[in-house]
Amino acid sequence: MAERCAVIGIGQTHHTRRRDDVSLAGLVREAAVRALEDAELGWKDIEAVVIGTAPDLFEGVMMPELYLAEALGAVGKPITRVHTAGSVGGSTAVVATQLVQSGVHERVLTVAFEKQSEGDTSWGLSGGRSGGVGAGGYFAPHIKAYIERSGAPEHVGWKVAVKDRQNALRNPYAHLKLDKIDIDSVKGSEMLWAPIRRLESCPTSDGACAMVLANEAGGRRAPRAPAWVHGKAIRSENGFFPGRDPVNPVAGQDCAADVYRQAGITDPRRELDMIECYVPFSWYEPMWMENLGIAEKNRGWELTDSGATAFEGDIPVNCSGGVLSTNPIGASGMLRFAEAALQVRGQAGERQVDGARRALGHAYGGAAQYFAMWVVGSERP
Amino acid sequence: MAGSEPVSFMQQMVSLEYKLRASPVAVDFARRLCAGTITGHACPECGLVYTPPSGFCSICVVPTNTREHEVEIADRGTVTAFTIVNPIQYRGQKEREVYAVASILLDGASGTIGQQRLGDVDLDRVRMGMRVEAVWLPEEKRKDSAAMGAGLASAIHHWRPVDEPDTPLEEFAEHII
Ligand SMILES: [Zn+2]
Repeated sequence: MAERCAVIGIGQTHHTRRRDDVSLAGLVREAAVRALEDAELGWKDIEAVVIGTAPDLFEGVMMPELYLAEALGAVGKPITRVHTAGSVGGSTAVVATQLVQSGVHERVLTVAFEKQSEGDTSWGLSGGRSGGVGAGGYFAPHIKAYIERSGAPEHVGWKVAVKDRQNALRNPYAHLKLDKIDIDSVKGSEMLWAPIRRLESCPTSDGACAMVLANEAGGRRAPRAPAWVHGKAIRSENGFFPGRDPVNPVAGQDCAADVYRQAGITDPRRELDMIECYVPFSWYEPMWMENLGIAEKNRGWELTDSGATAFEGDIPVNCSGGVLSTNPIGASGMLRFAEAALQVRGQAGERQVDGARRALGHAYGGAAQYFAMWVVGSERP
Repeated sequence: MAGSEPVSFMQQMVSLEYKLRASPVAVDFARRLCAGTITGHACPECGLVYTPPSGFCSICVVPTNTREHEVEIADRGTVTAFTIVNPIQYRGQKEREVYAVASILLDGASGTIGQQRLGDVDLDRVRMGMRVEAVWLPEEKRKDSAAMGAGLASAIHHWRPVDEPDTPLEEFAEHII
């Protein structure tokens, strides 16, 4: 790594079911303007733009990067679009980081977004045919296998659903604000894709997230404390082959091992102060805690059940409310990365974990086959 | 934004029809399927059996696209994982009733086939390890969908339980999905 990379500006929209006061271009610009304001920079200071969103079919806009170049001040500058399904927000940030670390650019704007209200994601995920089961129906058998294998009691999923929604009440940008949610309401909600209930599922959101990344000189000059990138990695694996374990995918384990190595982390449970993890269905919290090496195999549910991942726990997960509270799909991964960075900058407001110095941002996508992660810290590596 | 014009939206439904040209491997698979046989490819190096076959082993990165790699797979197997779906009513969805889909490890295959419809079964009785067999469409209704890249559903209507003891979890733990 030739250059260090710092997150010097972060912006996001107030996520909601439907933003009909802005176009797609207006939505991404809103997040980008906020990130630039946070960094106290202007459009002219940006050398390149890297954007990411979920498959075009979700919104019905083909190659939106072409039409969004103007809204993102990218005319005459390099603009890159990243495609890695649901993990794209994370991979987009990783690509932008690489442009800085490689010394190619000094300041890069990275933006991820989704305006689910402009399309029909269930239809898109079903290939436009009847009988599609969507993401929930696809992941439900994996969750079923996890529960069977680990012997986890069913209340663990309900607990995650309540915890993340309560965390969202501290996040002014979160979409769902379910202040009355409790175990009984989750347990009593409609079964959509057994064992996943409605309140154990992510919402459908419109939203965008943006970050300004800079090299070391830019990080030192930043008006507010930056988050320094201590490690970043992308891994993927074939979605279908005999013997693949989608409950605990090798690509996820490898990706985590790589970011920990870069960050010099040997005991992630102790050395990380918080985690923003891609949990679109409640059970993915314990599953990913195992995949990330925070808990032993088949024991992630004990970690969740013990309260360790709660806001007050020793390894808080998704203090922002996570994907269960806010899901503009293409932006969801970048929101995880940005929330981790806000924490180590001490800029997370009411959802701030006291003294957070090192945090992990995580995203996954496709058939639980694409992974992107970064470790950010308050100290320059 | 102050001073800018309000944004307006309009609904525009579009339809898109397209034809996919299937690979020779998929065409071959579809032809055999419509004739009532599920086929797979055995990798000459690691021995794993892929169904539906893709013409190569993605682990060994070797081709498996000639007749000598072809093996017949049973039309019965074990449910390794499943979900009961309460269908979301998106535009174009015709499913109205709750139904079960499963990953099935067919006898003779090394990996499962996903999202297979179960039928003739009490939804409360669906379980991992359950033994099932194919209920084939009548021959004249099996569309030779080779041109579209055939899936098993073009010839198999659903899978139903058979009266055999369940497969123990440890026998398929490595092949869940
Ligand atoms: Zn092989």
